[in-house]
Amino acid sequence: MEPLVRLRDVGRRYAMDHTDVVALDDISLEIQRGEFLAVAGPSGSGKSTLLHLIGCVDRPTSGSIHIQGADITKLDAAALAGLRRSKIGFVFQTFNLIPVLTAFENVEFPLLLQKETAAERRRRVLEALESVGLSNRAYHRPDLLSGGERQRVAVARAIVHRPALVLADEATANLDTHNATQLIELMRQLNRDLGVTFLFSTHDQRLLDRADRVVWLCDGRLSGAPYLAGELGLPVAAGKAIAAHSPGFRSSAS
Amino acid sequence: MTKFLLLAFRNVFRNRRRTLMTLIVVAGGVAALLLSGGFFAFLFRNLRENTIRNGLGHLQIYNASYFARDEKHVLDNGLDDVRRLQSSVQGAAHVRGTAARVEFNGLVSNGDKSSPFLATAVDPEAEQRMGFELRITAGRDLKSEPPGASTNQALIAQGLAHTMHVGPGDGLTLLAVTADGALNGIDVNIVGLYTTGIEEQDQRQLRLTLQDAQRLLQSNRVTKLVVGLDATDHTDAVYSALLDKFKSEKRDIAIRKWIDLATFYNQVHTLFSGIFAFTGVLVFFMVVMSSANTLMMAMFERIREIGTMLAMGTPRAWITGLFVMEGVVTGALGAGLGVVLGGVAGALFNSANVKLPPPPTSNTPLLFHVLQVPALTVGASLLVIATLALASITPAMRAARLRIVESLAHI
Amino acid sequence: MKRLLLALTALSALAAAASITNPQAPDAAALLRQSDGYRNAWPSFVAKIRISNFETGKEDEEHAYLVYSKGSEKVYVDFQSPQEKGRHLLMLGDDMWIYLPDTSRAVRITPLQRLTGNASNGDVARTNYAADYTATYLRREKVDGVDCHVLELEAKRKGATYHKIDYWIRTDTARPVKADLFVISGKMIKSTTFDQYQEVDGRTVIKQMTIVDDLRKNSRSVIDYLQFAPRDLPDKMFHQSRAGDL
Repeated sequence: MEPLVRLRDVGRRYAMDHTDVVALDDISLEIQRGEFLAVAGPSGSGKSTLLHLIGCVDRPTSGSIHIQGADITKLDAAALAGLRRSKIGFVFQTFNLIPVLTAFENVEFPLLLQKETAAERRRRVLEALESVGLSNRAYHRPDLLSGGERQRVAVARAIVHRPALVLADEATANLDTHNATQLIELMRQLNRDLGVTFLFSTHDQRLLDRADRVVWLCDGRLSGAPYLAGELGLPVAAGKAIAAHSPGFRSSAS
Repeated sequence: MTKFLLLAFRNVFRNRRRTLMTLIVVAGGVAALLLSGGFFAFLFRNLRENTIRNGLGHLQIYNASYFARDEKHVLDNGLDDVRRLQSSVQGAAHVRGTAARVEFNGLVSNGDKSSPFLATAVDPEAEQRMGFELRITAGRDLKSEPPGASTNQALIAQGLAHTMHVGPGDGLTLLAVTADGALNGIDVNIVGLYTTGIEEQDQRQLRLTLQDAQRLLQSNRVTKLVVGLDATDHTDAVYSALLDKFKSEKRDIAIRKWIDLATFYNQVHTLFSGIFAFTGVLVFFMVVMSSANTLMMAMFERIREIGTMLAMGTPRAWITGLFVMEGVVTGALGAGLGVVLGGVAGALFNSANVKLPPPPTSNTPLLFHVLQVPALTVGASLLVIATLALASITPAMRAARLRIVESLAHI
Repeated sequence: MKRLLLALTALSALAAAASITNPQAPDAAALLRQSDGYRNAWPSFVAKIRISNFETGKEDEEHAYLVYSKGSEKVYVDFQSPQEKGRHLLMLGDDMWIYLPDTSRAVRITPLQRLTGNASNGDVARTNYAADYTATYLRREKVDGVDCHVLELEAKRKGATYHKIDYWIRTDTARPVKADLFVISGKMIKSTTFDQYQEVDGRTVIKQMTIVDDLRKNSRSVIDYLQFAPRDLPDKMFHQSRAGDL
């Protein structure tokens, strides 16, 4: 079956102060539908760049990226924006909610871009808020929400338009342990319940523990790493099965 | 769309202190425009009505040849059979009255010395009926006498009276060339003195009755027929109606509206319109200067938010639109505030009866009164709204051109 | 042959040089006095004149006047046209008045003010240029083939009609040919041509002159001297009073 995302020999270089900086070099990677995939690596290893390329907000300087079989490097800016609107959700380290909008309105924003009817928007926003457990906070502005709540609103915003892929860049980095754990379990649950593919970059060991597969980046290159799914190269289904039976998941889900 | 308007609205009030400063400037500008414009409108209206009441009338009817060729002799281009013309014009709607006039020049003599004059011969009753006012400084106005009788009355401008060393009760001899080119003269008694308010005119002008002028000039014609209406606003309508009427009667008659004849009014109007336009430009720059920086700062503060919106696939045009909309919202709020401010200030000025020192050509103090002009209110509001929309274009364009990756990383 | 030619050329050049270095500058004042004789022929005279005004070539109107003149300081102009009966103009020295029937006082007028058409009061009443102007000799010039002296006349008294006159008179007889008339601003307002002369009592006097307005070139006024004769006139005729009747 065609993978959801396929990167082939992808490179990203920047010209900075007359020197050529290589952010990513020769990356080939496939992401399957329904995967809960982590990108790990030290700061500056190219995790964010990789997410930006897959999220269609940046373009590779070499290689090709296919999403659902279409080569996105061949699309113009407007088509990329369209692709982002319909197929991709973002969760940011700093939440990035629009401060003048309520939780409801923030979640509604991607649907406004889709030109859904008001009734449909309302139904789906409430559903999304319900799924992140924030139905009672719908009409609060972000400044009245805790950090954990804000990030859950951000997750609701990322899934409300039913994207094929959610990209979460260091989503737990600004959260305390409790909230971080809660968020991880939430994303894992959404991945399982909705079948949304998650790709996240992280330093967080807890998050890595919950991943189906971990891709290691070092100095812009993929490297092997001593981790369960990634190292063993098990098929996705197997990874999922292992994760599902992991005691950590069960304890936090209950 | 409504959601975007809501978003724009909330963004405007994000930094209340900053927005308030902008609103104060915008409202102040609008109020200044309304006050100055309303005052100018008051001046224009007064000057207009004074000009018309001082004898210009709303319409003036001439023989068509009056504007086509020079007169060789006086009244060559005059109107024949003015009675019939008068009854025809008086039948039209909104016409309050008509007054025939003869204008001519000649020499006036006190027996010792002579001076050239410009005379206006009038039917005193008709002039008074139309409410035409003359500033009589001594003696009385002309009085109507039965047609045919010679009245030998003259009202003389005070400058000319001074030159001639005469006052009410004294006599003068008027010398003029008749309609067939002969020299003729009559004696007149001065019944009063008047002033036009303009010194050069006061050196030359005098007034007498129609029948005396027609006797002096040996003609039954008149130079023109002045038409007074019930309201100045009806000028254009009556003008068209009369024009059609004369055309259907195949009369070679030309009509002039007061605005075409009121040279002084037009000069003042042009001058003050210029001053007002300058005020408008001033307000424009004031608003641009005070808001451009604010709008740009507001944009810089929201770079990561804009990056987020772009990442979610918001079209760049929407971002531009959002910022321009914020400018328009600010402008509209400022305009509304300004209209209220200007209205209240205008009402206060009007009730306080503020008096300004008299202008150079007048000796009565000027009342500072402010008219409510709907067109002005709309115009001033649109001006500031457009100004703010214009001022927000630069930040809007910059916002829409941000690169997503960089703006997401922006602190 | 060549020599002869050269000698002739030299001779004519010499003659020309002599005439320049030794000019026979004519006496301008004397010339002006002489030329005045054609219009102011006798110390006391009567002239019947007709002024016809033409607009774009068509005769428009006519006026008739009797001009009584004594010693060039006293002039009485009686209006003869039917519509102007009873009016008269009186000139005494620098002053001029007009008298109208049914009015109680004379109207003081100036020589430059219009009598009729393009004719000013002064064109009819003040014809003694030598008394009013100082003459300067300018040059000789041909006008339509006629040899003329050109004089410049400058007003010397306040009663003069014009501020300056450029005056062309024949070199042989000092008869006026034409005049350009200027006002104080330096602007030329009218020009006059002296078209015809007649013999009266063995004297040549003016018969017809034409006045053209310099601004309205289409209009002209022709003054015809229908009768022109010497006559003794009583001083009381020129009395400044209402009873100016004859």
